[in-house]
Amino acid sequence: MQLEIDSIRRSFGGTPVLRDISFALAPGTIGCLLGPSGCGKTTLLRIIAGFEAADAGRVLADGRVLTAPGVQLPPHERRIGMVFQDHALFPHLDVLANVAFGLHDQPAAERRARALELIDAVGLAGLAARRPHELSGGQQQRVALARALAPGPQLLLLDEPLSSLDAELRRQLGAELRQILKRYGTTALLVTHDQQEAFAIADEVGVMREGRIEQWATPYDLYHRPATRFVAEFVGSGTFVVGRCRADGTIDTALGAASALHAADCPCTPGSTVDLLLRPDDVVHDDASATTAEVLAKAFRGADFLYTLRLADGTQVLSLVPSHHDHHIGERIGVRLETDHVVAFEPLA
Amino acid sequence: MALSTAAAAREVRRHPRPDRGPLFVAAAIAALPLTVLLALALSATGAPTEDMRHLFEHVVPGVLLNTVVLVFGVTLLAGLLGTALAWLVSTYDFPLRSLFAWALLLPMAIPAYVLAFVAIAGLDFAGPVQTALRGIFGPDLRLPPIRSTGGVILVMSLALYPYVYLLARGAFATQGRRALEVAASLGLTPRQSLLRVQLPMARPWIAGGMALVAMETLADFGTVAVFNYDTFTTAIWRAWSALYSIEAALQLAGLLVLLVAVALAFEQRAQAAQRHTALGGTAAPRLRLRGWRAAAATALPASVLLSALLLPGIALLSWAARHAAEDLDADWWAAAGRSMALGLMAAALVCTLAIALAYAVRVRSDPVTRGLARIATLGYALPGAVLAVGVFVPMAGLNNLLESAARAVGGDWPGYLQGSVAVLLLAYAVRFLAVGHAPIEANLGRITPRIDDGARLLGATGFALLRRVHLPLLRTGLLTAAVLVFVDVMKEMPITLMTRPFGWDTLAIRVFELTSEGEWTRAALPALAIVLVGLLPIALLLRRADRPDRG
Repeated sequence: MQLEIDSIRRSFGGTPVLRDISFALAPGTIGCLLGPSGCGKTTLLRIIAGFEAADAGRVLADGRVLTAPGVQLPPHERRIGMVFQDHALFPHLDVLANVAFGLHDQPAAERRARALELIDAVGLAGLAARRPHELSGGQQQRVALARALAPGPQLLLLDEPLSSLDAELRRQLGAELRQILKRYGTTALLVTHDQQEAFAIADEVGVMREGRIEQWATPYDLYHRPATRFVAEFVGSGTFVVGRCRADGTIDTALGAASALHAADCPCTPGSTVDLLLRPDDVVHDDASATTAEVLAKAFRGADFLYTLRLADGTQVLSLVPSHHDHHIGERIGVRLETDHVVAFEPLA
Repeated sequence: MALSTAAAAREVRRHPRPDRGPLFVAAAIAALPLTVLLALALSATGAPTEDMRHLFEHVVPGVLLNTVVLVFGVTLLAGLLGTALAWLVSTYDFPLRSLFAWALLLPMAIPAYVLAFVAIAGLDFAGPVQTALRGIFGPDLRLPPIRSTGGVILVMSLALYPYVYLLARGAFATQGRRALEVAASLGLTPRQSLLRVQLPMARPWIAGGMALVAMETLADFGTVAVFNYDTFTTAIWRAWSALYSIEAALQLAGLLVLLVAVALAFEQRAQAAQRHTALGGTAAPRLRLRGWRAAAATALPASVLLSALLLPGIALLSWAARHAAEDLDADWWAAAGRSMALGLMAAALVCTLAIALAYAVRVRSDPVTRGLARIATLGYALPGAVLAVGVFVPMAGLNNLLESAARAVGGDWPGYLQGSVAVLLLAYAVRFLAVGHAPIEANLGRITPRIDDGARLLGATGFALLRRVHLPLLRTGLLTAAVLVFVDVMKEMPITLMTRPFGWDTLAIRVFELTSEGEWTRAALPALAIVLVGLLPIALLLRRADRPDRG
């Protein structure tokens, strides 16, 4: 299904929560709204589901109006499924009955067959007779997914679907979730504040801030070509270093010259100063490099160290270094820039 | 600082083997209801006499039918009423909703037997309502008689629906918005949601409330006595007081316990189901009703409150005022004083037993002690009339034993154990231990072992721990327990009636005696006092239970 969000506005008690939100999802796409809590992403999800009304704007499904000025199709007529943050399984029903809950208007045998198919698809074969309280958090989440998918919704909404699970399970289930959605070709929209969750599941991600979408892009582009400082800071880690633009298009920094500029919101006229975004993987450790930096802090992460380094001019950068390069705090190590492109922003006033 | 090695070894050895004391305490308390049940069970094993055959041929069938009809009627009607009212006030918004939400609990303050005599006095053929209506519509007007099976079911349902209402309202409030949203996202209309989600999810609470109503109905004595509707409790009373047949009373009590056991089983099953049936989430926003729907939604709780609270309240007040001048004499105050004294003594006794029991379980949290605690608190299921008989028999036996023992040593046993205040209090304690135990146990449960550890590290151990840490933290639970027991004893009728020492008339006994003489309006004065005291625990309940509802 083609989902179209057109100029949605919503305020609560005079405080605007959504300011003119527009985007579209092509059929079969998994979209994600990513943002800190309070950015309005959950409200938008609830408006699409029909639990909340919009002050202005439209929600369309394959051109059919779901929400518009004067139109508010009730949630149960939208054919939109939803997976809730707290799973919200019906505690009085077993797994089979939970999954079959949204299947009406079919013979009992077909309902049962469809429910069992979904239970199998989410990897819970054999647990159909369990009650929700007898399941682990991850299993409950799978049941919630199967239940939402069973009626074959034209759109599936997922509200922080993995946030109640622990980190390891979150990674594993995220990948699996994406596979299942792709197998059923379901158009889906996910909201989360966790970029790992967003990157693991979604094809396209909209980063939201204070009721606006700052950038709508693929996870790769969000990370490597952030359109705004907020996106640059919210997605992934990184630091800003001062750079001076030269006439040949390269930029001088304390780490040497950078080239192949992708300047989203910065003209970078020769002679001007810009802030360059450097990701930890843009700064590599190289003993042969003439540029050195002092180790300020280090975080051991298993396969690598995340070093916080201080350059000669006092600028701090992050650097990802393979973990057999174990340096002491205070030691000076050689570093160099390794990028195929960098992103520049107007310096803060 | 230096601890001798022997002392250290003792210290170490003490821990793996916990004290036996708490186990004995729990066992002693659990022995109280067990003795009663044992007395009833032993009576059933005796050889059938001519009296017994007569009893089973001529009394039991009618009494059994009446009791079963009454229990089914009241449980269904109170269940329907309580569920409908709870669903209305938690799902919809309509005029006066927030007032109704808590006011619908107030009828709990009016004992069913008070509502019963007010209804009869007001609605009987000679009562003010029918007289007035005949004045308007002519002398041939006939209303359905209030003194009928339908009448007693209606009155008891109006008095007991709050049990279902309270539990169902909590259930509807906690399942909240989320359950409805899930249902809507799966394509269910709001009406389908009610039938497939809201009611099934609230079922353990509704069933629990209905089981409590069934147990209250089985235990009721005052209401059926006022209505002259023969059930097991009135039959026990008649066998006891008119026929002086302890055997017959015991047999009837044993049969009644079997019925109670069925209701109790339902209640326990519902409680077990409640543990896994909370969905959580925020409360759903209430849908605003308009037009005739709003009017209808307002009319139902309004008419319930009018007939269960306002009109009876007005009637009680006006009748009490009419008789206050002549009836508020020294005898009245003496009865009021005895009601208060019994209530206070029972509250003190129950609180002591409840604390002992709760600590026994806390210190030795093994299955045996827990099981004993469950048995000890099962007394709330035993109807007062059953308890009265069940306590009397072992006490009479003990009395005889003491008498012969005294004679054997050449002395004289002056007492008459089975008719003393001590026995009365013992029976109260068995019946109301659960009432007092629940808030104290809940309160104690919140004092985690870590609090104990923290206090011990700071040097407060043993009695100091109890005095400086636990008692201040237990104050709320103790107060709640004391108030609940006090009020229940004030209202209590059959135990008091059957086991009180000669001349120990209380307010409830006055109500019983005046109503059995048909002096309906004069019964209003003692009844009013009972109702006013009965408002106390409702106030406590409202302070706690209504907080989430305000959101």
